[in-house]
This record gives sequence, C-alpha cells and structure tokens, in this order.
Amino acid sequence: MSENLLEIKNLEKHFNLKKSIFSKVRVVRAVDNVTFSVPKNSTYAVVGESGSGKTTLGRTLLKLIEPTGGEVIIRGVNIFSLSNKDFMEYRRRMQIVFQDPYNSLHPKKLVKTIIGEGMKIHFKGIGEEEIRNRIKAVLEQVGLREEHMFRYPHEFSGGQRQRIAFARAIVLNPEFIVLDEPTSALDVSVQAMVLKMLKETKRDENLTYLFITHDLSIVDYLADYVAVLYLGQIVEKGKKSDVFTKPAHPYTELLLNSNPIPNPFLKRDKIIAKGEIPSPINPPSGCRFHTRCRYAQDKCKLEEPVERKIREGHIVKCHFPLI
Amino acid sequence: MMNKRGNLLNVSDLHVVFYTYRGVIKALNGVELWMNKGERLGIVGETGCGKSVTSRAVMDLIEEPGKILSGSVVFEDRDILKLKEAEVRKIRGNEISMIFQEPKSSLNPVMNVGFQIAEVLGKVNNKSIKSQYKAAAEMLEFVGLDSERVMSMYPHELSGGMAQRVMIAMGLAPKPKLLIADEPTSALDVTIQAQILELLDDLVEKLGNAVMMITHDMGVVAEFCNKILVMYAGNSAEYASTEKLFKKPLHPYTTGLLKAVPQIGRTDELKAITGTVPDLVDPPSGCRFHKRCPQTMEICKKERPPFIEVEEDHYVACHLYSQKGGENK
Repeated sequence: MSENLLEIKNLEKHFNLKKSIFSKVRVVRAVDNVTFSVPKNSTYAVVGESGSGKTTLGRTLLKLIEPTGGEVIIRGVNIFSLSNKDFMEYRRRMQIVFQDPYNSLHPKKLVKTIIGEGMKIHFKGIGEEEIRNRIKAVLEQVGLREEHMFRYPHEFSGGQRQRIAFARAIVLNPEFIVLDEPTSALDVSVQAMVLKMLKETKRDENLTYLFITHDLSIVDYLADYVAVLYLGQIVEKGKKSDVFTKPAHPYTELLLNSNPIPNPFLKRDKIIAKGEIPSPINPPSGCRFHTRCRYAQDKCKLEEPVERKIREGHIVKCHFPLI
Repeated sequence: MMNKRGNLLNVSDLHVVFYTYRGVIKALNGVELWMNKGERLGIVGETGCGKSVTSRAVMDLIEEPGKILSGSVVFEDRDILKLKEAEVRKIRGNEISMIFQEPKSSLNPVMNVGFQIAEVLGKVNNKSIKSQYKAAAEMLEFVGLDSERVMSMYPHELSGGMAQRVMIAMGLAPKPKLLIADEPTSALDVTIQAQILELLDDLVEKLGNAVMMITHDMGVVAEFCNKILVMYAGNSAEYASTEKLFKKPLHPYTTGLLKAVPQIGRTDELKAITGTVPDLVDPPSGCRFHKRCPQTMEICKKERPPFIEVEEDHYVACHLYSQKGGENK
C-alpha cells in the first residue's frame, strides 16, 4: 500500500450542551473515536447524512475547531501537540474549501486580495509582483482569467466563486485539501466542470483530498477511498471499489440503494429505511444504527459492535456484516 | 393554435416576465406543456430555467413584480388565466394542489398540524374547521404518521421528513386531480428522500391523480415520472416519455445534461456543458441555448426554434430537427 500522508487516530469532538445553569450538561458526540488514514495523492471521501458529523470531522482535523481528543499525524508529527507557531506551517499545508461559495468569500474584498492574503502571511517577504504572477497562474489553473483579479465576489456565478475559493486554497502550495461539499450548491452542468477541474488540479499538483459529501454518485466518480459516517462514528471504510461493489454494513447498503439512479431502464428493489436519523444528542444504545437496520437483532441493541476486518483495508463496524 | 394535446392540462405559449430594477426578466418565453389524467410529468432544468415559475403560473400564482403576459393554461376545459379570481380559488388547493421544497417554512409556525390540515379540508368541503379534525387525522395516518401524536404538534417539532409528510397530507387532502410537487425531496437526506418518494408513489397510485414534479435531480425523475419536460432558459426544450428521453435524447441540452450527471457505477468521464446559464434580462437571440450548444448553426442565432413533434410523442425545440435547420445542414 502507498504511503500515508495523514493518519487520524481516535479523533473526538464532543460539544457540551447546557440549556440552563441548573440543568445537567449533555454531550453531543459529533465526532466519536474516528480513525482512518489518508494515503498520499488519493481522494478520501467521507460520506454521511445530516447530523453524521462529517463537516465537524473535516474542521476538527484541521484544528479549525479544537478537538477534544485524538491525534492527527503527518509524517510522524502529531499536529495537535504543536505550538501555534510551529502549527502555522501546517495551516499552509492543509487547506479547506467550504460548501457555500456565497458565504465563504469576503464580499467587500477584491478577488486578488482574497487569494493573495494568505501568501502575505505564509510566504514572508514575497513581493507584490510575485504575488500578482502567482494569482494569475492559479486563476488560469482553475479556469478563470487574469482580469477576474480586480472583481468582487458578487460579480461571479456560484461555479466561478467555488473556483475562486479553490484558487485561494491551492495558491499556498498545500499538500492536503478538505473539500466540504464543494459542489452541493451548484447545478449539475456546473458541478461537472468543477469536479473535472478538481480532478485535474489534483493530478497536476500532487494533492491529497478529503472529500466530504452526501452524494454517493460523486464519490464513485472521484474517490479512491471512502469512509461512511453515521452519528459521529465510522461504520465502514475501505477502498471505494470494495465498499461500493460489496458493502458490508447495512447502512452503506441502504445509502447506495437510496441514491436515485438516473436510468429508467435499471430496475432494482428499493430498500426503504425504517424511521428517521436519530438525534446525535441521544444516540441509540448498542449499535447506533439498530433502530433503522433491517437486519437488527437483540445483540445490536445491547452491545456496541467492534471494528472487523473484511479484507485488507476494508473495515466494518457491525455485528452481522453482509459479507 | 394546437390545443388539447393532453386531456387534463394544456399550457401553451406561456410568457411570464418579472419587472426588476435591473430590467425586465423574461422568465418564461412561450412554454408549452400538457398532461393527461393520472400522468406523472417531471419538469427538469437548472436554476433559473423557469420550472418553478411555470408551476406557479399554472395556478395563476404569479405575483408582483411578475406578470403573465400571454398564453393559456387550460385545465380540463377552463382557461385558468381567463377565470375570475373567485373561480380560480375553487380550483386552486382543490382540484390542483401544491407541495413545496421547504416543508417547514411552508407550514404556519404558530398553528398545530391538526388545525392546518383541518383548515384545508374545511375550505375544500365548505364546512367548519372543527368538524374536519377527524378527516385530518385520517389524512395523517394515510401518509404514515401517528395522528394522535402529530395532530397537536407544531411545525418546529417535526423533522424534515415528517414535515414533508404533513405537506403531502395537506396537498392530497382535497383529493386533487393534479398535484404539483416543487422539489419535494431536495432538502431531505437520501434515505428520507427514498421514504418520501416511495410514499408519494404509493399514495398517487391509490388516488390516481396526476403529478407535476419539479426537480433538478435526473435520478428522481427517472424513478418517479413517466413523462419528462426539459426546460432551458424559460423555454420548453424537449418533451418525451422517460424511456425515450433517456434512451434517445434529441436536444443538445438534454444530451449535455445527461452526460453531466454523475451516477454510481458509471465509469466514463463527466462532460460539462460549456458556458453558463444566460441572464434572462438580456437573453440570447434566436435559440436561447445557441451560445452553449456544440452543434450550433447560423439559423440558431436568428430564429427561435419551434417546439415540434419529431417522433411520435417526442417533441423538441431545436433547429437540428426543424425543416429550416435541415436545409442549412
């Protein structure tokens, strides 16, 4: 197997909820003991529904939200143990593109400022001329033009804004980018262009992606590895080709089956889930999925399943895996 | 005018504009569509193509600053646009009803669910709201909710999936002949989306009403609808049965759209449509798609292509298939 760029070990983010000063503190385990490794130059997809903790996971591992436990190891260094000064280098190496391009770009700043700001911080002593050249280069790389530098975000369409957000990330020469639902606000024809651009830039710049999404069809198009998240926990992870062709967890099977397929000639039996996604504040006992699982047995209500290895690199957290 | 292509609804040459400070938005530019009883029509297209405006125009619900300039919306044998408001009200919410994308923001936040459904039934049956509570409870059971619990709940207590079930209960309560569903599952998670689509499928099967489903999701139409209308920039671009449209799309826009949709198990490269959706304040001349079309011809810049039947029950608005286009090829 190829070398890992990132190792995430037992990552935890618990939020304390307190309704009033007299009530007991309740804990939301948004990210609960998550472990996975991202191989270099791969696209690792994290999929899950709302409330699964996928966005919190992406932000916690970049330390945009302070983790409550666990480690993120890059080349033997646990980045959470670094001082702020030492961590700066990792800020540059690890970038993020947010979901909503309408809120993630400063409306009163020129595109050139939006993209150039980071360089002034991370590349000390860089000249204006060089910044300008670099911005020009990345704009072209993401499919925009030089003159776009002198415009404001409102002058761009959603797809173009997402390109700007991506340019802002790659201008710092990162190794790793978290893409948090980068195309979910876009129309399909625009989405196709952005996905293609992401794929090409990854190849050209030797990038590694963590792709957070709820859309499994995009995962199939883009990802090499996939982790399925349910109420803060990874229920299945492995190579995308393994997980998608032979899902081992009933939840993965359900997700794959629920995704509507744009092909009227493909008839398949639909699996309809029982009930709704439980609240992460008070997750079900035992296996968290047991309330909606069609194979659930008594054991699932009582005991939390442990991770099992189905084959090399394919891990499932289920008492009765499908394979 | 070619009328009566469907026995339930015939929309022809519908023009809608919106007056804004930027100028006049030509939102609908001669939309054509028709539906038969019990049919499920999916209207697909990207943001701003006019699919939602079309559905609202069908119920004569275009409000200021919008205006229906011309065209007709013939429901059975009545032209809704020519009827008096009082007469339209008898059709709206009764013979034609609607469910919306954001179920929670479409429900009244200060009224409980039971009241809201009973209110609909009261209006429809011309009875007091109080007398309709029992029927409202039945409707909730019909959509798979526990009526005892849900009747007294307020919208903020409902999850997204439950709220959409309540909307469906309200929409189907008057036993409409046509249900318009505007992106009914777009705000929901996939597993919940599957539940809601299954429910709609089941209920519509039982009630036998027609459904106009507005969506941007090709997967949803493929699974739910038997007819599809593709819209582009305020025009009807292509209309056919679901099978025909997916098997043999004729309009270059439809072809492009189908190639741009990612699909599980699909290995070929995604193909994007170049360019962006035009600004409808100043739409392109001739065919509104000509600037993005890979097969554009001279005539496309000048003349608007007619919406014609190219094969049996397969309509398309494209010069590639019209007489004039054929000569120029």
